[in-house]
Amino acid sequence: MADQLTDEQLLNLYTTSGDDKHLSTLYTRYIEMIYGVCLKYYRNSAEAKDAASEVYLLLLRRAKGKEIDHWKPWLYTVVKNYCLEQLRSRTNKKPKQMDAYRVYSEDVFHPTTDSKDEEVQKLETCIAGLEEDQKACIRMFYLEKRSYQDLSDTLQLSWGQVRSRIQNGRRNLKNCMSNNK
Amino acid sequence: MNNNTYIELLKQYQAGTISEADRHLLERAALDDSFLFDAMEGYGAYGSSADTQAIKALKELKSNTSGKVRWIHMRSLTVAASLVALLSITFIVKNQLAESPSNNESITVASDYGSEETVPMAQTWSDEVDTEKKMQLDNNVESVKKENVESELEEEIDFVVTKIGDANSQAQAMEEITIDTKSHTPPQTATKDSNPKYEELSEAINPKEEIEADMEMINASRSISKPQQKNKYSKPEEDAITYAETDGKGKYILGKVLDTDGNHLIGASVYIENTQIGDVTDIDGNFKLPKYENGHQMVANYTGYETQKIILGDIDFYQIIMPVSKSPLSEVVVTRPKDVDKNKAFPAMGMEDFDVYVSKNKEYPLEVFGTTKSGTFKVSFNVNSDGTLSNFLDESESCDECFKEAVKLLKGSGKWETKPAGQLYRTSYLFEF
Repeated sequence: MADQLTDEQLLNLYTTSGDDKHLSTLYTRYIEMIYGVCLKYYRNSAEAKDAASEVYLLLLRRAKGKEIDHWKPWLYTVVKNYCLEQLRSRTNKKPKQMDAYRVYSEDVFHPTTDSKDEEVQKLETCIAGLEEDQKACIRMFYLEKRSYQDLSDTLQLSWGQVRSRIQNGRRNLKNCMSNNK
Repeated sequence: MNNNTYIELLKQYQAGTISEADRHLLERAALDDSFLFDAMEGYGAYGSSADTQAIKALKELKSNTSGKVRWIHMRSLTVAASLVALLSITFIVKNQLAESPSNNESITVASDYGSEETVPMAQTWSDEVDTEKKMQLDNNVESVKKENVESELEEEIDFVVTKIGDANSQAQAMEEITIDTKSHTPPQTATKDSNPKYEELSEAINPKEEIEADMEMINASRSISKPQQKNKYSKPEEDAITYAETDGKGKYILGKVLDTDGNHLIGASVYIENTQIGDVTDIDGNFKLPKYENGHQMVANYTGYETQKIILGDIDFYQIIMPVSKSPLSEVVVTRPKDVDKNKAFPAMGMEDFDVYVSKNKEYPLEVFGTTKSGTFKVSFNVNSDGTLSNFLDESESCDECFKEAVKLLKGSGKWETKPAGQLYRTSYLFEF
């Protein structure tokens, strides 16, 4: 079944057969993500919906005859650039085009208190050594497991700011932990 | 944790049915997955009950789109096939028309004049009469034949037309079936079965693939034809300049600026390159420049038209014809005027950040502009000595909603600063919506 195939297998099928139905499966698979991203940029349901359906037509054009290695990052770039382009032409403002995508990795450091006491102790010291804003974000996110939305509301920060603070905090923590070993 | 799990979790997140633990898991993943993060931010910050419906509609829309594409594709095929059939019939009928008179002639000659062939050549008068007779007869026969053929042709055309009508309605009916049952039966097979003659005909002349290719070519040539038409207007410069008359004294360069249809272009600027010498055309498209050395370039500019450059020669009157610009006008970009007192009064966050803040936070006043239009909006205001803003004034006097939104944005932008500090300034800001 098409549902059990990986993105890359479907991509392969699409490239060899040229049948749009594989592309359509790939689109539907990520529809929640695509729509969500459009929602982030357009901030309302109606426009996000229009944008998401435009993206499908765009994909049909863009993907034809292209060799795409990784579907998800490629799709993300297409969706995001589409939204940015559309909004830019509307406002005549140049939003920053961000890097195509970050490297996806499952193997990243997430501070946790589930480990040994000794580690926890070390973690506590390291967290204490962080900058105030990072400290707050790390505590609330990792230790209290509060949501982005919650953090954004409490700290009066945008989602992006919350995220970058958690990321920076996490990196600093990792450095701190490995230094103290 | 694989990708599909995250998508599943995102669905729950969007629907608001996700558990605390799963949400945290998802948010952790989003730290390193910008795609996921942006989607979550979308739902988190702007999500509404309409989203589930929208996503459902998108999934349906997509399957409909593919159905529609297939249908249009097949309809064009049907039309193409019918066209080919029509053409081939016309061709055959024409051939018949061309052949039939000659056939008639031989028959008529054989039956009516066969006996007279033995008559001696001396009887020229009777020959002449006979020729006249024969021609009359031939004409009669021909017109009768023609009438017959024409009525046949009409009948056949009627037949084909009804076939086309049938084909379309059948295609329409088939489309519904295709969507409902997802069956892949092409609609025109039904039409063709009912009239195998045309199938053979059209296939013999143009196999299906070729029809498709032909249609593509037709489309392609259509899209090319436009720029070619435009090229027609961009005449070489020699054509654009015509010598007409001098002012007699030779002190001035006179001229007229016209478009390709001969209309006067009012307000076009004409100047000599790298100088301060220039003029703007008047209501009749005329301009007047002081005489300048030969060999310099005279430039004519007009928004939406191709800029023309002319090298000055021993001519005192220039008629400049401006072709319409080949590249369509891009949007006119209105930017914040530079003369805003940004050095004297500015937001504490800095002007650049303020621009970013405005573009991020402004809410598009949909009810005013609709979804497509955009515009600018100017607000002037006081920057008080304590950094607060007051006395907002709608400079554009165009829309209350914009004004409210603008004041909201300005008030939310924090303290402003003045230079030198502690002084009251009045300034303005141009908003783009």
